[in-house]
Amino acid sequence: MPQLDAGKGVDTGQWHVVVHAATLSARRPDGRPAARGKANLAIELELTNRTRSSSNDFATLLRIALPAIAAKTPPTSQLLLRDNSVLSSLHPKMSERIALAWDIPLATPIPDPLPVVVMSKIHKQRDNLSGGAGWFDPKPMAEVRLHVTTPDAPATLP
Amino acid sequence: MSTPRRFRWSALLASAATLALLLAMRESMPNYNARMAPIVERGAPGEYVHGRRFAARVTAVETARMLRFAHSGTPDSVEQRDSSGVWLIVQASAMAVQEPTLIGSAAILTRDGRRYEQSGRLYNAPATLAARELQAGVASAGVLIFELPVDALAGAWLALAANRIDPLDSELQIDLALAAPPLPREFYDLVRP
Repeated sequence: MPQLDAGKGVDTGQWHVVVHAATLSARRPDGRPAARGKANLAIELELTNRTRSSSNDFATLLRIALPAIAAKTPPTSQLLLRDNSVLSSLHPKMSERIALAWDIPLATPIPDPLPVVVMSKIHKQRDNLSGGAGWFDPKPMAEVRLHVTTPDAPATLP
Repeated sequence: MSTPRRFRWSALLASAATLALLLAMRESMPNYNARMAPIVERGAPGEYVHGRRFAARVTAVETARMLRFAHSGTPDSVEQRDSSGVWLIVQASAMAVQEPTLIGSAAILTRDGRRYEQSGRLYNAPATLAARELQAGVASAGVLIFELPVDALAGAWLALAANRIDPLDSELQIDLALAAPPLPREFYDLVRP
């Protein structure tokens, strides 16, 4: 699979994606604590909607190579980092920095670097069920390896 | 003894022509979205445009770089929202035709064919016009709020429908007369408009 550097963009067709960073913390990006017994793994990215209409079809855009996050598990939270509000839709041609975050068990071993796969879909003018247009058939497109920062970790002594 | 069957070019040509015809029919048939597209009623700003379930009228259009709003029921909890583009605030009034209904779908259609749904960023803000139940014959006034790039404003239209996923119903499309979009003001205050 093609490798992509953090901070470099890729067009999936539906989205322009720039994966920036990964953070493991006791809190979600909006400051709320992760669920009891869990930590929060947040992936920060910049997304631009390249389609003709507002869309919220980004929950399965990333696949995290961790057993604790099953392949199609939607993020625990999707946040617009501009104001840390819950992200509803992204509008065409309006780039936004967002976070997709999953609560994972505290003891989950995190590889360093963490492989994050960017998924892409194909546009069908007629889908196989109703004959309507849409984006279907997610497939891995590129992999980004991210160093996971842990802001809660106690500072190490020199 | 039977005679060997002769290859018939005419049968091959007929099959090829049938296949070509079927392919042309398949490709030229509108897809589901086109066949189930809403029935569009167009109108100009300032006039009521009538659909099957409700009628609506645009009274004013403003743009702003920031929005300020208070959470519903807690007027002290004031928040503000900026945008990577510009906020478009449409002041409108609407009324149901026969029975109570909602404006279930509000969007801006731009000149380049894009569709910007109303903003979902004003969480817990006082209800916009699209969240109010419209009563038959009783005009209800309010705002509809969108976010879009500054260069998408010129030539934009407002699109309103009772239900986004209910096909074959009316969609009101109202020209916002934004040939020359107004300069965005710094703030639009939903607390004290």
